[in-house]
Formats: sequence, C-alpha cells, structure tokens
Amino acid sequence: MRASAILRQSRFVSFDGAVSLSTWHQRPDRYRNLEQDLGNMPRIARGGGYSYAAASFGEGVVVQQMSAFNRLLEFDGHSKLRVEAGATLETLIRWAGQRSLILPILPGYPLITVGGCIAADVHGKNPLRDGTFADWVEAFTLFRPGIGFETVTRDRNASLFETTCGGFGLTGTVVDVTLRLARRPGHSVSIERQPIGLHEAVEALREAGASDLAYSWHDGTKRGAAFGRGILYRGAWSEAAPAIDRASYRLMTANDRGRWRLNLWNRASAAAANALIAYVGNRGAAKEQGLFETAFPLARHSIYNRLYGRNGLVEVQVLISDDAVATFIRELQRLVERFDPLLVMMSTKRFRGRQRSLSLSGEGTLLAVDLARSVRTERFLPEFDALTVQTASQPNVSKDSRLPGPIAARTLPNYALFRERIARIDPQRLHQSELSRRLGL
Amino acid sequence: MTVVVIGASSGLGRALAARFARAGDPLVLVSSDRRDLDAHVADFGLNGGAHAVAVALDLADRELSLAALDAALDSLPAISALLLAAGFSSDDDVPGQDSLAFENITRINYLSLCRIVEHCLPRLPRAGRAAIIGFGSVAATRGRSRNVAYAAAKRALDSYFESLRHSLAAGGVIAQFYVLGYLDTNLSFGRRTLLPKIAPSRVADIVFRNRERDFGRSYVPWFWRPLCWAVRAVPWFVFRKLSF
Repeated sequence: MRASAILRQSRFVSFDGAVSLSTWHQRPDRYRNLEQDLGNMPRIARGGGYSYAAASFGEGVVVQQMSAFNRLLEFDGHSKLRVEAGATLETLIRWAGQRSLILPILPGYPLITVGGCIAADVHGKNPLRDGTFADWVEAFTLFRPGIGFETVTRDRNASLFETTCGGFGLTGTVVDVTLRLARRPGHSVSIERQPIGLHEAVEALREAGASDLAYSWHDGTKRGAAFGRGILYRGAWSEAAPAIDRASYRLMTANDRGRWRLNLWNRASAAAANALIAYVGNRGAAKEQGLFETAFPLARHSIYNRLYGRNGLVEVQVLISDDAVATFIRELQRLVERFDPLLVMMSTKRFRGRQRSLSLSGEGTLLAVDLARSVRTERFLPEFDALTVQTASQPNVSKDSRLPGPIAARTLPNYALFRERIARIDPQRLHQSELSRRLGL
Repeated sequence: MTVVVIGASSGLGRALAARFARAGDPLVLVSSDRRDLDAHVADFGLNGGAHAVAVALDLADRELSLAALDAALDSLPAISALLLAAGFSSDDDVPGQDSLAFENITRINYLSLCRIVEHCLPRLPRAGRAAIIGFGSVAATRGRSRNVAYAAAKRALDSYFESLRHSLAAGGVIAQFYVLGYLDTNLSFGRRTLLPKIAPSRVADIVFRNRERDFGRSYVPWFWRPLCWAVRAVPWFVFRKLSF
C-alpha cells in the first residue's frame, strides 16, 4: 500500500560539534520509501553521520537516513561485492575477512557507511599506494527523483560517476555499490615506529610509499626547535598472529561525542597526552596488531574526541604539493607561534587522488591539524586559510565544517567543473546540505 | 522445516526473518515489494544463513491470490512457524475516514492475515511442533478516537488467535499472540511515546526463544500487561476526558 513519506523533526550535529540544527528526518526502510514524492523539498542522504562537516543535513533539508539499506547483495566469488550504501565498514571487513579479502581503503571509524565513503571519497592509511575509495568502486546504483534508479559505471556514465565519488550526495542517493576487494596479504600488520620531526616525516613518508601503511603523528603542543616532534608509523602485513586483535569498542555518534559539556583539552592535558603517546610510541620494537586495531585506532580510544566536549574540535586537513611543503610547514610553525592556538596534534600521510569532484586531487603530503575551539584558534584559522591559498594547497572539504566558500572556490582544482556538472545533473538543486550551501554549490 | 514470515520487508518482520535465518531453516519471505525481499534473500545467502525464497503479495489486494505462496511452499518442507508480522497504520485513521482507507487497514492487519493462516493450515505438520504467531498492539487495548480501524483489526486478530488456539489444542500446532508495546519502527518514528520503544530485534529474539511454548497471549515488554489492564479499568467518565 502506498503511503506518504514519514517525516519527523530531528536534531543533527556535525561530528566536530560546530554545526547543530533541527530539520526533517526520513528513515526509509524499503525501496519504495526512496521513491516517495517529497515535492520540491531539498533532501540529502545520510550514512553514519561521521563527517566533520555538515554534509548530511541542512536547514529545511530532508535527511534521508540510509541505515536500513545495509545488506550484502551479490558476490562474484572472487573480488567484486555489491553492497547496499548503508552497510558499515565493520560489516564489510568482518565479511571480507572470513574470505581472506580486504577493502584497502578504510577511514577511521568502523560505523562509517559505504555510501558515506563514496560521498566523501575517503582515504585509508596509505593513499599514495592505494588511492582513494573511488578507485575501488566498480559501479553504483543512484536514485534520482524524476529519473529513478540507474546503474552508473565509469564507462557507462563517466561524468555522473566522477561527480558522485566525492560529490557529497549532491548528485542523488547512492543506493548500492559494487566494490573491488583485494586479497588480504596476512593475518596481522607489523607496525614499526621511529621518532621523527615534521619536516623529516615528509621525506620519510615519500620513501615509505610502498609500505602497506605509512603515516606520522606529531605533538601539537611543542614550540621552537621541538615543533612537530612525533613518530613515524610504517606497517607491513605479516603472517604472525596479532598480539592485539580486539574488535570491541564503545559506540560513539556525532551526538554523544559532545555529551561532556566542557572541553578538557588544554595545554597541560594535551602535553601530557602527547608525552604518553611519544613514550609508548618510542618504546619497544615492532608490534603485530590486527586489522581492526590498525584500521580504526581511535575506535577504542574515543575519549580523544570526547575530551573536546560540546564545543567540539576543529580539524583542518590540507593536501600540499611537494614544491610547497617545506614552505608550508615553516609558515605553519610561524603562525602557530604567533597565534598560539590550542593545537592538540598533527598527522601526515603521503597522498594520491585522481577524482574530479570536491575530493582531494593530485599528489603530495596530507597534513591534518587538530585544534580545540578557542578565541586564539578562531584568529589562527583565517591565517591558515591564507597559507593554504598562498601555497596552492587543497583543503579537505569533509574534515572542515567552517571552510569558507571563497577559499574552497580558489583552492579546489575541480570546484568550477563540479559546480557546472551539479547544475546539469540536478538542475532543480533537490540535493542540498549545509556544506553545499556554505561552499556556494 | 520452513518458516514463513508475512511482512518481512521491514520493521518487526525483517528482524524476525533475520533471527530465524540464523537458525538455518528455509524461509519464505512475503511482502508487497519484491525488491526489499530480494535484498534480504541475497544478504542471508551471503552471510551463510538460511535458504530464503521471496514472494510478493499485496495484503491490501481485495483479490489476494496465494498461488505464488503455494508455489514457493511446494518445494519446501512443511511449515514449522508462520509469523504474521505485517501491519499498517495511518495518521488519518479516525472515524469518518475514506472507506477504502478503512478497508485497506482492516485487510492488511486482519482479513488477509487470517486468510493466509486458513490457507496454510493444511501445510502445518500433523505430527510434531509448529507455531502460528500473530502480533497485536497495545493500541487495541481500548477504543479511542485515533487508530480506529487499526485497533479494531488488531482486536479482531486477537480474538481469531484465541479461537485458533482452541481449535488447534488437540494437535501439535500452537497459536501464540503477542501484544506489542511501542516498537522502534517507522510506525512510531519521531513520535514521543509515554514509555520507551523496544527494538524489533529484541522482540525477534523473544519470539524465537519462545517459539515452542504454548502460552496463548503474551505482552512485550512485560509491563504492558498491568498497564493495559489499568487502562481497561479506567471508568468511562474519566476515560472520555483522556487524550492519547
């Protein structure tokens, strides 16, 4: 029996805690729910809601929660798996693991959905070697009002494919995805750690390009000569049984991340936490750990995000070209010392992206900076944006809920192309979010 | 033995299908939209669960044909559990509503379900255990100005199950009827409820655990039994002033 769409008011908050608003909420749990006529109401699909930016909600926008579309649909017996967009990475890696397969791109939280991974075109632990999520997508089914369900592949509809991967749900609702899985090379990952500075990490990560995992962490509280002191992590698959292979964790959503009223990250707590990480990181030889622990290091340490409290955190992530990276780091240090924001930690990876949407594109060093919200942080951020523009670096749209539209327009290489394509694909602009409005899309 | 789930596409039916699939018995999943059922069938298959067959039936259809259900059941063992989880309610279910809407609600929540039970009775084993399991609602405890047709249909279904249990008492088939409190499905989505909602997966666990018990009627969660009794005991001069 046909029924009108069930819409209720719900409150949504971005994972970083910066954007919070009430809007219409739909929980489709049947295919026909996706076909229900919402008239001209703007709408956007939502997966786990783990984007730092408000990509899956907006003022007056119908949020279509895709959690019920979480089933495995088809497997070719080798490597291709078709799965509904609401399926979580946790479901996927558990299923794939039983068949000695792996999804090479695993962003940082197990309850992120496949649809969310496409929308933000996420990356994993070594994007230089593995690319981004879109590189492992063979096809997907997209639902568009007035058009219906259509199968999109790289060959059949290249423009729609490219615009959807990293398109933040603005082309339509991704319903299912055909993924290419890889053979799992071992039972555990052997992680080597070595002390390293921020400047040296860039070169070391370039040399570690062939590693199965390569990234660095840096203490955000150090100043002067110790600025950026940190640890380089390099990993390789191993046949050894993992010493740590726990897959249990405490559920954390964007709403309950900010349950604690106060921000408990201050100079003393950040310095202490960083000192502890440095102590543990510099102690002992390589350790073998399971895939879950490797892919989702913060899942069992959700306190890191919870400590930012209700006010939340600011994460800015930029892709810096090899030509500009030395200048960028030098200028970053100067800005940090001048504005003294509450910088908790930094991390770097080598990156390669090939998409033509809002996602990062090109090759270079990916630098992430985590800050607690404060007046000094607010003063620091415009200068950070100016440095991004000045060095022709690219901001990561999904990580930064306050990224100003003009900065995005100047720095994202495919911004104009994406805007033009979206206008063609969705001329009525039925798919919108706070993110799309802020970026002037 | 085969498990038949009517209304398997979403909500409680989906949770029941998933729970019984884990036990490994063959499943026949019935709902109006084949696409939802095909997704369940694929998922159960890929997760190493039960063999499942999808049957599309529209319970609102006045000329409901059960030929497709028969075709699916013909190739499977006898039915061990017939789960009638289909349900439909509407915000417009008030006195004076459109007669077609009234009829649809009655058909989906009562008439078509009874018709399926009657049709499947010969397929239930004469020897051995089998269960016919129906689901009512606390909304049917006492007639109010809302959920008019829905409550009437659910109360009629309750009565039908009472008769069914009586008529099957001599054999191995049991008839169970669950009166459900607020379920966290799209029927109650976004509504403020007086008491907490229960997840369909929890109800499915309870139903699976109790599938061989002959208890007649049960309330889930349990606290609804005294609450329903209390609502029925409220004198009319008080009840007429209540709005809920």
